[in-house]
Amino acid sequence: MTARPAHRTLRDQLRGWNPGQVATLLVRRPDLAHPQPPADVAELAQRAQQRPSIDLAISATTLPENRLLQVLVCCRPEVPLDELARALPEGVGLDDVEDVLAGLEAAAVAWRHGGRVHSSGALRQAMPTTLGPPLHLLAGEQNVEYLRSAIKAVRAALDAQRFRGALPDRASGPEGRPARKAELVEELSSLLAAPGVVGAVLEAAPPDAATLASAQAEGSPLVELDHYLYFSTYGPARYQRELPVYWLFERALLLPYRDDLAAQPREVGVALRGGRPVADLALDQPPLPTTTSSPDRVDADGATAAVRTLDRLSDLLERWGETPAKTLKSGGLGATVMKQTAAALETDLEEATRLVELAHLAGLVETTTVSARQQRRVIYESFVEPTPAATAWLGRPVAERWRQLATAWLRAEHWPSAPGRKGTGSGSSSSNSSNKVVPVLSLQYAASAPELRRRVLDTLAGLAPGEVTTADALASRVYWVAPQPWLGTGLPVDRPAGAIAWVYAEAELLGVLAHGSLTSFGRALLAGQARRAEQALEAARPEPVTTFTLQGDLTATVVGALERSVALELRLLADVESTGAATTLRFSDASLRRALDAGRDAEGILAFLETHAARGVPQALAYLIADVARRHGHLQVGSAASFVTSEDPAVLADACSHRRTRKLALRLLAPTVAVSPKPSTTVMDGLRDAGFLPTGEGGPGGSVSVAAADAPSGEGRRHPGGERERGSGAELPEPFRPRRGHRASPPTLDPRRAASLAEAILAGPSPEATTSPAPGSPGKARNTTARPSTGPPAAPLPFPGSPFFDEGDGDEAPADLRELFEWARDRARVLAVSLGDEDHRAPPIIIAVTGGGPDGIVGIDLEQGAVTSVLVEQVGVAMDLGPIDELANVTPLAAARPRPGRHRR
Amino acid sequence: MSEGPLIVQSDKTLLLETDHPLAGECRQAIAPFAELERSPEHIHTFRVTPLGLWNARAAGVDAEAVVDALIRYSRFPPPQALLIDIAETMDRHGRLVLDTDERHGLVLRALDRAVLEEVVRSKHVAPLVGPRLDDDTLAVPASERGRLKQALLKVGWPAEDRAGYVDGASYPVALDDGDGFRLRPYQVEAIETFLAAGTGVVVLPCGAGKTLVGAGALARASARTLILVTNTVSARQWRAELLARTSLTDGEVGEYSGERKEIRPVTIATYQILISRTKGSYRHFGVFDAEDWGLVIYDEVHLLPAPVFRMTADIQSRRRLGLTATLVREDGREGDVFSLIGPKRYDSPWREMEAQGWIAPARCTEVRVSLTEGERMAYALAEPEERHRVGATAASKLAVIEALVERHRGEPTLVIGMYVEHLAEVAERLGAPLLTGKTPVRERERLYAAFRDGEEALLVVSKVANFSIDLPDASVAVQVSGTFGSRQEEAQRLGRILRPKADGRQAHFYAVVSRDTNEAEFAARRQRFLAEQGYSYDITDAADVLGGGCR
Repeated sequence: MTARPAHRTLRDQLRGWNPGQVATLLVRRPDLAHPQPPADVAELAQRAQQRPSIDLAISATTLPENRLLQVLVCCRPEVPLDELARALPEGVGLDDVEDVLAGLEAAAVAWRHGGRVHSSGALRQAMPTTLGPPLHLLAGEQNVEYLRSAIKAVRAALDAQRFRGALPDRASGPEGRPARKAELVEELSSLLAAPGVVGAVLEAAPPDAATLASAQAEGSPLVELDHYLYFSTYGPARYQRELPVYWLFERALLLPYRDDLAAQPREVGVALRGGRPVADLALDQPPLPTTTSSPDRVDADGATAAVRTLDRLSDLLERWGETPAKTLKSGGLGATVMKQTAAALETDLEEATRLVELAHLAGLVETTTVSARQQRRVIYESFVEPTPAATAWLGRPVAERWRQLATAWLRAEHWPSAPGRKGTGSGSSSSNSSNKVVPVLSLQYAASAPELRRRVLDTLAGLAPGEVTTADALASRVYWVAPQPWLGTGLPVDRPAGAIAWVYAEAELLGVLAHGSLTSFGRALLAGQARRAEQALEAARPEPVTTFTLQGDLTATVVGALERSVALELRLLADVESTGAATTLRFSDASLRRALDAGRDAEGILAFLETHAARGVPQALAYLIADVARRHGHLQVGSAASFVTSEDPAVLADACSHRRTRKLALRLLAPTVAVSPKPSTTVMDGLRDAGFLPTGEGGPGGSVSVAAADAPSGEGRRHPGGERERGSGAELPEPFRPRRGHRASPPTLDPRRAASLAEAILAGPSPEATTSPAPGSPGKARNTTARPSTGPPAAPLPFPGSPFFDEGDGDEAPADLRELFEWARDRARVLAVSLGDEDHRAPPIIIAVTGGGPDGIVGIDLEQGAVTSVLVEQVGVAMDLGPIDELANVTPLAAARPRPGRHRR
Repeated sequence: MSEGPLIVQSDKTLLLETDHPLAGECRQAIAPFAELERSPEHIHTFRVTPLGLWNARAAGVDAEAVVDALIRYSRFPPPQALLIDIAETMDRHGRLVLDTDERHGLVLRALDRAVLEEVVRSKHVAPLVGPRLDDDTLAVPASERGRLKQALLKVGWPAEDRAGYVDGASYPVALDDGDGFRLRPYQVEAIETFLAAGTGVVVLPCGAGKTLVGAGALARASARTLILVTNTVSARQWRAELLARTSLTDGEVGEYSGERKEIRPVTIATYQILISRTKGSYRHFGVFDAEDWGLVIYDEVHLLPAPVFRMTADIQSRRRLGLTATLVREDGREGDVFSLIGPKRYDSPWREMEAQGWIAPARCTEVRVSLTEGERMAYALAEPEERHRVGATAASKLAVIEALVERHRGEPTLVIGMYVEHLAEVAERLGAPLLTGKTPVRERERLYAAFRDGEEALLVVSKVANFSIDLPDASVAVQVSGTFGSRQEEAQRLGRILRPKADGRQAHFYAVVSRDTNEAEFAARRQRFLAEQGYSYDITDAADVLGGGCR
């Protein structure tokens, strides 16, 4: 790069700051003091200009700050103030942006000195704009011949137009030698940046090329190329000649970018926008108009929704506990399974998707792979089924279940509403243009999801209880407060409206939000007050109904939410006809038969109905129950592999009770008929051994024998011990993949601490006394990237700025394993867990805990890269290694990817 | 949260708690747009359908009123999506208007141009409309008025018919209010609402005096009138009623049936004759054009045969009155009734009329007969198509039927059945006259007259009794076998005994059913239907009937 004589470094600038300014900077960019405060101003300045920190700073800017930064990076470095003023949008002067500029200065991303505005090179690289990359980045890829030719073409065009404006000098190399590439790039950049040049060159452009150039300036600066675009000293290839892109390329108004894309250089875009890179600075914060709704009603409806969701999840777990859901070969649940699930849960497909995803986020369901031998081949089948932790979850009180679910949701690096729809793409992959439906539970990670969710909910939390705003207004506000996180997140929209709709739908499902307003328990949960949230939900929860109305048309009508145990029994007896605020169910022969099959009897059913029917049991229903029960069981079906008959009941009775036939398990059905679960040949042999003289029935070889009916698929959930595998095959969810160098949610810094730090930094390096570690932060100063050494269960060491630091609950060290498990789950920690007892201890598993509870944890085995669960009983020793956020970076990502074919035994 | 009596479900059913103090008021508010589906003892179910909403819209109720009624009486907030759907559905009615233009005759006028563009592109509508008159207006051949309305309903944009009606040839008729006879208030109301609209359907339960509504409308219209009825017996009864209650004389009322072909100022024609075909063509459709009819009355609209719909499509400029006990059609052609006869203009729930004393409360009892071993075996071994007959005609029923008849000796009793041989056996055992389809009309009328006069207290009747006969004094009905439980048939049978009894006696309806046969399944459907209609329904064992003797 060329020298920047006018440049004033940030270090020099910061030297002139007072402690208050430094403290403000630290509060605004807390990552600068993390994990250890910088020793002096030089280090502070250096940190402030590092790319990860700059990225964080950019993502924390407001919309006007963001736009002003865009203007700044489109101007030349060290731009004089009057030049900046000219680049501002029409009608906006320097005075209007004074506050915005001051804000950027306070954050040390830009600083004023000597009538110029300075910014760091890192910012110029990092700051995204709506324009293309600067010319020097694009032109650097081209050869010297191209550069010469382009300069020549531009200058020729200007001569042809009789251009009168000022132009930069022709480049020359040192000591009169021909210009080198760097000088040529410099010349071309200044040439195109000179006022009026781009316009003059485009004057002579063919209409297609001119239209393309202005479209690129207005919309996306990138165009897709059908043909490879290249420069040759022999002139353009035949196919290129007529192309508008080639015309532009010849004059450096468009250059190949990467892959098959070409970009308009930033200088050209700025020129086409009349020298004003941004049309509107959005200086005024958009208003948040509100209406009011009764907080009591919000709470009541929110609690109803929450309880309903919990009930549905219980239904889901029950259903999948009986018959696990089969996954697609490519992973995830297919449309057929989801349709069945939606029907069983009496909801629509979208909501069923959210419920299933939520269950997974909370560690209630997991994918298991079962291998089975089919002749010589081993085949693998994957199922989604409840985790061991789900059993424990089901046993907890309503409020606690809700809290766990909602907490898991708040933290999920995933959009539960995203699957099941087309072309949503994933947050992590850039090639997300596919129009394929994303299967449910195929885990598309969206690392920014928790932060974005939080932004929406925090803005809602800023409203008074019962105050409601519109989703549109909220979207504008949230975007204004911090636009950067919403851009380039891989969401279907670049604006927050789509994501906000998802947050709304998910929050309403969980009862965090009702009627567009946060419920009191949702609010408490957001504030980290878990206990208060549970209490608030408990208070708002509708008193469960235990009665229903039975009518002569054989229906039952339930108004409100029936207590779960009663509801389950009623649903066994009758079929649901219509749902909503009330539920109607119909009794029929079939439904009652189902109950009888499940072991109920007529008296029991009647007694149950009489207990709960508010207006008694109509005679017609009582008759129906008696009728069905009377006919039920007239025929009984059992299974046997063979039968034995005898005309002499005495002989048969003897054969059945004989000591030596015991292993045949003969059972008398009638005086002359007995059955055995053993095949007829075994029974024949056994009877002969015991001294009887049996003969086979029917013709030769025709003795009646029934083949064993149990096929392996009939085993249901019982996976044979040795065959159960985790973490194999392509059906696995993607591994936990934290983003490098970018935290989902930056740490925060307490202003008082910032003030003291600021003093220390300005004072410069000094003995250790001034750099006392933050309370609770790892004792060893810089060594945060090393994996903590093993030892006895370490005390949990969350650093106070941790996003998961749950201040509302106090933070005592967990006393035992169960507490450690809950503690780790609530704070998203990484645990090292050793299975087995003192004598047989297995090598530790490193688990990033994502769910579970005191009885077991669910998380991602960072070595295997697979979802795993561990029960408290299995664990010998467990130890906290630190927050997921910190440690997942440490774990070699290569090891965290699934390796097909590798199984843990 | 309000404590209203109504619960709005997302599947568009409305549950109304009848014990609630606001229940009556709420029912009044939702009746115009919601169809009563079931009315068992505690919670009534209404359903909101597009037709119902359009019926309401045609009656001048707007979406705001509907949504307001739902919100006002609902206990829980109604699902937002449902309210939006209701508003949108109602908004579809009347965007297109059928009107008469001075210069061009019948025209289809759009209040919303986009809708017009949409419908003219539909392949159902396009062949029925004429040339474009301007951006918003299309000419319509007068002959396509009915079919166009049908087609527009099918594509979901029902048109409002403001094209008016011809008066027809005037013919003064007066109601004869001698000997204390007066129309009941609801009958008057039904007539007024109908006449204000010009076309439409009046829904009244059997026994509520639909014939008188017809007579009243005829008198008010005072025009030559064509009355379409289900069969000859019904035609005679209409005739008798008209002669008794209006100024019409014998020579002014003609019958157009299989036996007679008279066209008089007031002509009563049967559906049967209208749809009878000779060499594939309907020869008797000419009746519709035989006179300049000012009013056409359709009795039992829910039974209207499909060809008559086709014919009706051609007479859309005449006033049409549909009379029925239920808008539910077994063939699902409610939409044709809506577009061709007209929207529902008046409806009164059975139970309310019963409470007002216009219909005698009936007790429904199902008597279950246990079959003997031999009968069970015969049933089990019967061919599938024979099973129902074998079960329904079991000899074990005879004793029970006898006991039931004995229990109500002296009261006018009908024994109704399906299998003629079995009925013959029953009639012989009871010593009662038997009426079947083969009984000559003259004999049938004689027996009915005798029954009405009290000379005969017991009749055994086959399916003929299913249709619009008028037996004012039957207070006991014993159903010994039934066809396959169609809803309209049940409504008819009950209608037999629902007529007001002069002495306020309790009416009884018995169904004798063989236990453990498929008859029991049909009985279960009947039970559901009756319970839904709000009748008390008891089940007893044959042993109780036989052992209990006379109460």
